[in-house]
Amino acid sequence: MKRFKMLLISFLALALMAGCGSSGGNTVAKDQAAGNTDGNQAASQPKEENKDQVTIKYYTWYNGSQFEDIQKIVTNFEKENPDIHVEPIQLVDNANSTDFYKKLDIMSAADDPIDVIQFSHVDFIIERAARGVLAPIDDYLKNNNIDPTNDFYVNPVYQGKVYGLQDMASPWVVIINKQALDEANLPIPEWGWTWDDFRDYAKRLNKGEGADKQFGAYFHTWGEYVGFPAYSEKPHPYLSQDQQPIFDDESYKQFFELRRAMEKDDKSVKPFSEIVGAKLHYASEFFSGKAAMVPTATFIVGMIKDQEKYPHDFQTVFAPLPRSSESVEIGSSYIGGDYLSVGASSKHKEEAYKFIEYVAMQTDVIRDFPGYKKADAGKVIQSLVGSDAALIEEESLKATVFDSRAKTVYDANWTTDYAGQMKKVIEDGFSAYMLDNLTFEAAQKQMMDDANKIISQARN
Amino acid sequence: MAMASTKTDVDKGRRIFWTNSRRESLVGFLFVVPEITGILLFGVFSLFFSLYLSFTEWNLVGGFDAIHWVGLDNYKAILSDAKFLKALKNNLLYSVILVPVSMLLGLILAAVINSRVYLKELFKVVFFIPYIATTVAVATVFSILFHPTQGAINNILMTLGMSEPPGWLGSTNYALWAIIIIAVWQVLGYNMIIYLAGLTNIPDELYEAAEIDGAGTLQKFFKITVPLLGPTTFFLSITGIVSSFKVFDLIAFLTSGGPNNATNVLVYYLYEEGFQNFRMGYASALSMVLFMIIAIISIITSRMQKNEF
Repeated sequence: MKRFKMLLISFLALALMAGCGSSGGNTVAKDQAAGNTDGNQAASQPKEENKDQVTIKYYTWYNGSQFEDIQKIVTNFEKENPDIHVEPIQLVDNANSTDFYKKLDIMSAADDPIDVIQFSHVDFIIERAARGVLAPIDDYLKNNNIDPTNDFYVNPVYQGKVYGLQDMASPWVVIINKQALDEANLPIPEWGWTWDDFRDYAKRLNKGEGADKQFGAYFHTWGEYVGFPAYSEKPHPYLSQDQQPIFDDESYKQFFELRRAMEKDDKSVKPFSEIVGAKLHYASEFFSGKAAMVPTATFIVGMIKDQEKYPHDFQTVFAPLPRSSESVEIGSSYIGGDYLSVGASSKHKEEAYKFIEYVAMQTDVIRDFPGYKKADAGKVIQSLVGSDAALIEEESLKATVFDSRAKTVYDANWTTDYAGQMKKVIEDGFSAYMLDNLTFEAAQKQMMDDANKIISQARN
Repeated sequence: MAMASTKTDVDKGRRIFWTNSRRESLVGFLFVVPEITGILLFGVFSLFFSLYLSFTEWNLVGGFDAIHWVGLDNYKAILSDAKFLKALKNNLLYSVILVPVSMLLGLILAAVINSRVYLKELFKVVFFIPYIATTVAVATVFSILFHPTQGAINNILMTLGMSEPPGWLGSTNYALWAIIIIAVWQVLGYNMIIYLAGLTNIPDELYEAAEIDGAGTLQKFFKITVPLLGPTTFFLSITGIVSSFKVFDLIAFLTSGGPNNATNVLVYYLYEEGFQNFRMGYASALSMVLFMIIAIISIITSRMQKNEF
């Protein structure tokens, strides 16, 4: 019995040691494996590569065809710059940019070197620039004679420094079902139409009853749909220049009331409670013919062309985002987009910059409208529409996006690192307004209180 | 000769130190070492680290340098935080409805299945499946059933004559109730199985004796079954309350705490603060408050248990 116990003890002790030892061994093995893959990658490179070649890592949330486009751009870039190897990395497998930012933040907290990062909104860049995660690129821009304010639609500027380039611009537009528009005998809306015109259009595009009803318009749950006038006509949709919330502004009141009137009086939009409760999606509502008109950004073009995912047989026409009143200058628009930034922890900042400049300026692979203003409009439209002219009304798209009056009044200098949280404030406020049937004043009080709380937290 | 004697001395000394009981406890200790290491590392250390963090302000992204001591500020802020109070209120409502209702229904089901029912085994499985199904699948199915206009639930309500059925997940008034309904359905099977196990432990003699004394079915149920299931009820209420304060997956998948925080609960709020707004210190303070709440409720319940039985 004693011997048995001794055996057991020594066995356990051994097992413990072996346990620790083997994990150590595994790491070595893993390292070797990693080394091997590196070696393999190097081997698959063209022969002319030498030891000076640097590898930069490019983090994105794109997958599927969007990721393939990136790989095409990277191949083109590497052809021109044989001494730089770009490794695009899909950080998330669900194409969800919110999850992407979470992972990215954890990576940057762990001090992993990050060379190039993709962003979906200026606010996200500013938030991270304030934390010191990103590197300013002013010097490189100057060396390459690029004047961002003139050459790009939107620039991520924080404390006077530029933190990235807009490689794609996604201007917000209104997409309309051409078939429905023709049936209602309405002309294609033009620059300068107002939200009151929009309401009128929606009323006249209403058709049918019950489950098959075609609603005149559709508003999604995102913050943009709660205050379009603030997004397209204010330098910052949530904040004033001295960083006070502007939810007491008349434009919010006007738009909240418009939405309630369209839902309750005109019945020209699907009830908000149904959109929230059934988790509806703007694209499926539009392409299934349940909504004739949807304000959205030009990233919708890719979805129009995706017949497999969104099969539909009508043509889509484009109109600019309406303005809040006749007195607002024509052309003021809201331009979203896609940005590339250089990480502060990158060991090859110059090469990383070279890459983002290339991506922003190139027109060989067109994914959305370029953020670079001097890009060739004809070529862009041509490759965007391609063979899908039956689905996309080309003239209205061109007139909407490439109008010389189009400009953005958004000023990134006004944003702060907590602006991202403000979007949830207006989304919550609007939910309360519509679902709890609050007066605008009550909803506004809630939004102002929430916003002030976030601001005071951020300041102490 | 001298060498031999030293050797025996050593042997002797060793023999004295390694007494049988010591040997045995050493074996015991070695057996628990892996487990204890795990608990120390992932349980106790995390507990104290988050206790420490709750007195600090820390943006997770800034690394360890970004930890600043702020004393009791986080706790003071919690007391005046309207969102926290709303989450607490929602959570209390959720627990107060979910735990008793699911236990009562579980007990009734168990009693029925335990008595005279055909296909006993089949019903056991049928009621237990929701508990083992993944929450994401359950949530997906229910989000279709709860669809405000085309969902089965509202269609039934409308055929029954309700002109304006609730908007469920899209309504600030009913979203939490929709979540509670799903949760009851989900834990019902578990409660039923545990009660069934408790029921089989009640000796038949008691029922027979009661029958001889002329007790009816209801009397037997309330005078024998319910009291003798006391320990089971206690176990289920404790685990039920604790898990009801930890509800997260259903909320995260179905409503993300919305609309307008109508379904925000403590753990989801904690997650929002810690991992979306990156306020780790505040989130840690919230977790400490949550810990206190669960501890207090558990102590009260166990006191009640002792007094009653």
